[in-house]
Amino acid sequence: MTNAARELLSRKGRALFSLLLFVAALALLVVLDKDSHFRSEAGELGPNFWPQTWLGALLALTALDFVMELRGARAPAQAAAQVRPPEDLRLVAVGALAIAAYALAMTLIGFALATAIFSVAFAYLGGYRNLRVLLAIAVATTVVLLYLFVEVVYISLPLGAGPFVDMNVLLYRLLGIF
Amino acid sequence: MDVLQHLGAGFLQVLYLPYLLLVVAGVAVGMIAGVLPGITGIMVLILMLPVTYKMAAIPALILLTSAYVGGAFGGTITSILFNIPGDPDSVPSLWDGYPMARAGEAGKALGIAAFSAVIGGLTGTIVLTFLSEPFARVALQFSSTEFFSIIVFGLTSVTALGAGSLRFALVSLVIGLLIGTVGLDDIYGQERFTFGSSILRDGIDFQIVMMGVYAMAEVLERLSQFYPSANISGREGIAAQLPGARELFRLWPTLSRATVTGMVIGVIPGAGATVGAFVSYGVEKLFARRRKLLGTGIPEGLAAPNAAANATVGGAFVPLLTLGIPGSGATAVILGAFLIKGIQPGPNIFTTASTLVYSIFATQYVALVVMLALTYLSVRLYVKILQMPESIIAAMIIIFTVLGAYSLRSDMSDVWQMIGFGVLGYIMRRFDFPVAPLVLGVILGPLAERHFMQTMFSYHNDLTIFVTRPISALFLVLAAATVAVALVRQRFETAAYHEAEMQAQD
Repeated sequence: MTNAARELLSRKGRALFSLLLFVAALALLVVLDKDSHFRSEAGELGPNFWPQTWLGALLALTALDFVMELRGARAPAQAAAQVRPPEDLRLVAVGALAIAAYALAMTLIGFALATAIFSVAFAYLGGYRNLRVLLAIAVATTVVLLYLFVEVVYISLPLGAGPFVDMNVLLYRLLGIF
Repeated sequence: MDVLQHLGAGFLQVLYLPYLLLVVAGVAVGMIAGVLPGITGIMVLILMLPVTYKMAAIPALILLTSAYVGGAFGGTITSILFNIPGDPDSVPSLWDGYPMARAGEAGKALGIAAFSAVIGGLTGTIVLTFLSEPFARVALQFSSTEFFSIIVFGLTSVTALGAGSLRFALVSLVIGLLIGTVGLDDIYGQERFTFGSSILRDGIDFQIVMMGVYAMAEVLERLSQFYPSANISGREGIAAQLPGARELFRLWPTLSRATVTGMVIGVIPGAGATVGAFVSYGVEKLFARRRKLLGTGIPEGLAAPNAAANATVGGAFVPLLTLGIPGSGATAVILGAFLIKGIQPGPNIFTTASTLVYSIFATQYVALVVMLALTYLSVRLYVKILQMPESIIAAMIIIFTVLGAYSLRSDMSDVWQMIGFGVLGYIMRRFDFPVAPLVLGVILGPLAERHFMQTMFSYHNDLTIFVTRPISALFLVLAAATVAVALVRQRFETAAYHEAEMQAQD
């Protein structure tokens, strides 16, 4: 992709981001007004004054941004985007989904198993291919973190659901931290 | 005399063997974080925070302060040896450090950088030790009006002094201020933007926001760029060499200028180690005797940014401890540690928690010495650490971040919030919106609202009170001046950019 094409995409993306923020600010203004049970008396600013002020500011700023991006006005910071290294946005999407899946897996299969699997998967996604090293690191990381958080800092980590609870309890017993 | 007695008590705490080991561990971890590209000084503090949850206040703050000190220097090692700045504040170090290393003076360059960092750091800490308490006594006289204006100054300077577009920084700040309004309103007790959720009623913890927009977003950004790295071979046998007396004598004017610059910049909210390092290099370009040789590999170009960056550490603690206002991401994490321990920094902290405060001061002195020793002893270890694949480190960062968010309240909803802020942080970085104003907006927004509303109650909604009280007016003038400077700077940068573009077209 050429620098010009990348800059055009960045500008369109920024305009879209500003538009989304504008719409969100409008929606939040409506929500704020609808959810408010407080009625300000004369001379009283009320609880909505502060958020309303900043929602107004966000509306004005994002409208200005949207117009300026469409007009193609560039600040030096935006010019810097031209020298941004090549990016793979699909990789970001997969990375973010992997992190979300890790959070979900923690509640289903427990912290220990989810962490071991995630550490291998995320490093593999980042391009590291030595599976033997990855497995060794996954086991070591999981055991060290379990010991540190459960035994030293006394934080109860998710045990998962269904049969995984018993499995994790067994693991804790084996490690001597239950 | 009182100060020395309190400082002595602080040293007694820090020199207690288990706590001393915490200092060594904190400095080492901070330096390792500085060495590794992709882990910034702020990130390492965020990652260490969960480890401190169940510690007592003094060891927790000793550990975090040590990591802060180590992190302010660690990136310099890779700047000098490999032309890779581990942290943004290490960038000026590579301009002269790397040419020195290429000329076969890597050991000397490391020694000068470490020694300058210690001189800058120690001087900054001495000033912090003796000026903080008198400053806090003055701050005790401040009312909500003054506090509001000081926060406005803090927010505008963070927004205006950062790199990039002021317009984007303002958007980021306003988003942060709005996130700070979520939850139960302090004064009227009304729920705002909670959507019926009991978790949101307590508000959004700024630590979750920081974990998302700094740690997770940074990992996603580097993942999208395939973890860019540089060749690091050929530096395995390097060891630091401390400068001799003649070299020190020659560097003295540079060290003095840089230390003063760093201390002043450290106190200004938003202008931390990075601004200090760049400005001090600029000052050397104006005043150094050998200024024309800067950039070719001379010790002055290395001494100035390192002395200044470490002098900012002491300065950055002044607004945090005396006003309860963090001026940077790193001090915001340390504020989080204070709050977790149930301690509110502010003018009263010198009476309510003096041992803790002076333990923090003592930690800075000891940490600087430990940092010098670790630089001298373990450069080879850092070279080895730098060879670790970043994809493995990135996975560890995410695991620690998820654990950190979960451990705050043992609640998975905090993890989901953190992931949401991580995605938002990535999008903002992708489109050049700075994230520091957002974070400071989340932290300082609720404080600003409280002080603003209290002032309005007390003075019957008379806004002129902010300009008729002298100290408040002074800070508002400073805030306006900061914005004006940023606007002028941006105008120059835009003009220079367009000129360069036209020349390129010709």
